[in-house]
Amino acid sequence: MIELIPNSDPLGLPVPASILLALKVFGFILHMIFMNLWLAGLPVALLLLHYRRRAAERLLTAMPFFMAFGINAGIVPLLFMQTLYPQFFYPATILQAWFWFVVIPLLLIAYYGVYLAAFGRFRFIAALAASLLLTWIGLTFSAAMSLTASPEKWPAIFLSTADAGSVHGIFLHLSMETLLRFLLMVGMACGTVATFLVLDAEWFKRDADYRAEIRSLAPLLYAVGLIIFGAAGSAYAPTVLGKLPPVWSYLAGASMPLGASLAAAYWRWPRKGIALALGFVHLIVLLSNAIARQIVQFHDLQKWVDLEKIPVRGEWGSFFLFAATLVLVIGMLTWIVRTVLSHVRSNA
Amino acid sequence: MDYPAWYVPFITAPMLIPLVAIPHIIVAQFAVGGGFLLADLVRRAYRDRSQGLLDYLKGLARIFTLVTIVFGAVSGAGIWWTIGLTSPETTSALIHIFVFGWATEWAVFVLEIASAFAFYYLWDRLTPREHVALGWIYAVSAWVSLVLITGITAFMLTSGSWSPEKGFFTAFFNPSFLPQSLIRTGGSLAIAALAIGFHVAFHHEQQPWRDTVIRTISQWALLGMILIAIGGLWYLFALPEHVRLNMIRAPALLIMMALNFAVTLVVIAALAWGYVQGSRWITPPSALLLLLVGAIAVTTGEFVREGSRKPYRIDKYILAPGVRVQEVGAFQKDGLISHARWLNYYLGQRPTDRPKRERDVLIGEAVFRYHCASCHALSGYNGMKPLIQPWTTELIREAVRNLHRTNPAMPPWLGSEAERQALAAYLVRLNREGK
Repeated sequence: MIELIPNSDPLGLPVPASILLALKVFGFILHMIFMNLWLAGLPVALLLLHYRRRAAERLLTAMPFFMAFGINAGIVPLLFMQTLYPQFFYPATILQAWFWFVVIPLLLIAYYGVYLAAFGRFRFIAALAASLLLTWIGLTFSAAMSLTASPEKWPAIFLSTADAGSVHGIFLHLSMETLLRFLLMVGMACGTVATFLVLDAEWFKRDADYRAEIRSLAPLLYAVGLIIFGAAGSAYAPTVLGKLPPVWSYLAGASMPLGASLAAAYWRWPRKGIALALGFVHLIVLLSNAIARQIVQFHDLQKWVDLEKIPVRGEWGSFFLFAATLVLVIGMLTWIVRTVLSHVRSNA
Repeated sequence: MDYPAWYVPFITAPMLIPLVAIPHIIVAQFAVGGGFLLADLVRRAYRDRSQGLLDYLKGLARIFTLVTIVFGAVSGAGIWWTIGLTSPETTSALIHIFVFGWATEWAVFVLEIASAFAFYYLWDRLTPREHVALGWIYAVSAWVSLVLITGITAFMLTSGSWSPEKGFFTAFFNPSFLPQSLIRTGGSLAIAALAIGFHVAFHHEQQPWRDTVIRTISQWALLGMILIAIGGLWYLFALPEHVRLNMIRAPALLIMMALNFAVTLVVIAALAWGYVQGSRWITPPSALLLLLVGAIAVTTGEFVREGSRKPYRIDKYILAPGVRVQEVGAFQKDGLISHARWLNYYLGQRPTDRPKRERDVLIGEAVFRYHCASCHALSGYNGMKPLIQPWTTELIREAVRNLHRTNPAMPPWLGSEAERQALAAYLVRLNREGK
């Protein structure tokens, strides 16, 4: 079986693996925040269209921004994934080639659906189509990442999908692990949407009706998220607990109930302090789960490749180019955000 | 050849790349050039206090945002997606050389999105100074993004003095980087001018600001055409010998090159005429025709660049079947199958009690999938069946033996003598089926 795992790229790693892993996790967290907002935000907006119109409207209007930044941030973990683990990532996606390839056209359709819904055209149908497509894309990602970390499954899949030695690519790795990983993300996504709505109601859109809607909606949404997260987690956790240091297991598992408690507290005391605490705790939910996923992936793949043994080229020149550009971009983004906020607030 | 091959009938897996890449390049060039044109037009609108022009530009910016932020971003990621599936060795090599170039492009792209959103969504709320500044921030960040990607694509065509021991900057500043950057910058300005010309042709016939729009976009486009002319000449001198040979020898590339040259001249002439004539020049049919001509220019240019690169995926480093140049000797000595781990595993699982001739055909077909199918379908794109249809059995065997001598775009034979005979046996069977 080991014979199917390709060699590491002969060019070696550009910088030490620890830096690449840190950047991968950083990008994944950024991506996760926005991806959560569309993954749960679209179905929630659809459900709320007739009951809590203001919240639905707010979510649908903001959705194109979530999509733009979420897709953009998604590039980062994929880039570093392909730098660290190309020998696992490429075979896993090639075995599912057609499903992986159609992510791009499906994403395009979903993205335009989101814009149609935001502009109020064919709102229900467009948002429903986008929501279904984005859910499918999420499952495809979950399938790709699960198979990437499970090379022991490759030979059987390969032999059943190969003709004359090459694969036809019509296969999707929909295992129990894939579904559980996806449901964990859906649970967190409900919490992320609830947290966004609370922060939005407290800081950006402060009309009383909207706040009243959010006050009752956020705890309910967070509680639904906790139930999904808890149910999927109780089935998934036994398979990964041995791979995780206890601190990350506790943080990843226990931060979500704390977030749900804060969302419930917001229903009783809708104040900025509680909203801020919820935002902070939910950030820990996302951070701890993203890091826990990275640790599990690292553990699973460590059996097959020791990243420490891959030679490092020391591409420090281009690394500093990136770091300097990032600092410059953050500076300019700060100016843009300040400009936007000053006009949005003066308009409100 | 460490990865499984994905077999796509009729068009071959790598031909999925242009399906995604060509629309992307047209839209991405529109995004870059359009940024400069929009920023300049907004500046002029505020200078002339032309509310009519500002209203028109707001509608244009909406379409621009929808096309570039959505289609441009997703299809850009789509190219990367597709090359990972069809040429994993090449993609891995590019990522290992350019990872921080791509990361830098990501950072710049965040700025591009943020400035584009603020530019459009706060249209009526920004001060003129802020609005114009955001327009220029968008334009410059989109252009930097183009330059960064050009460094990577140019490297695939002309790796210059790069070798695996050398780093990012040697690879990035390769011989065709600057000429290609000039061509793409010029192309971006031209295609954006043609797209805006097309848009304005359907709007507001009697509006006084039409002349401002037409003259402005013509000025930018003419600057673009000058950049294309300088870059194009420089590019021809920067190309390696085998690329020039490919361009001359392959009829399809020669036709595409001639077409590219002709349509570029047409666009230059039309834009110059437009500059002289102002808004009278632009009518819906002429604008549509010119936009199509511009799209043909981009498409043919990309086709020539991609087609002339063969037999390499990355110049002097990776050959079309995904084999590093330095590994060729080992492949020829030990055989392709022993180096293609997935193929080796597959054949190891097949029954071995078949007659030799049948087993040869089976091995030959498998070798075809890994050695040839990245450029040749059976029927369809570069189809083998029609190609070898008039060949005799001896000619097939000779052609396989002297692969790279039959055509400089072909890689050398990358297998053992036994594998060569197996491939010939498979092709002979194909040849008979075709008759």
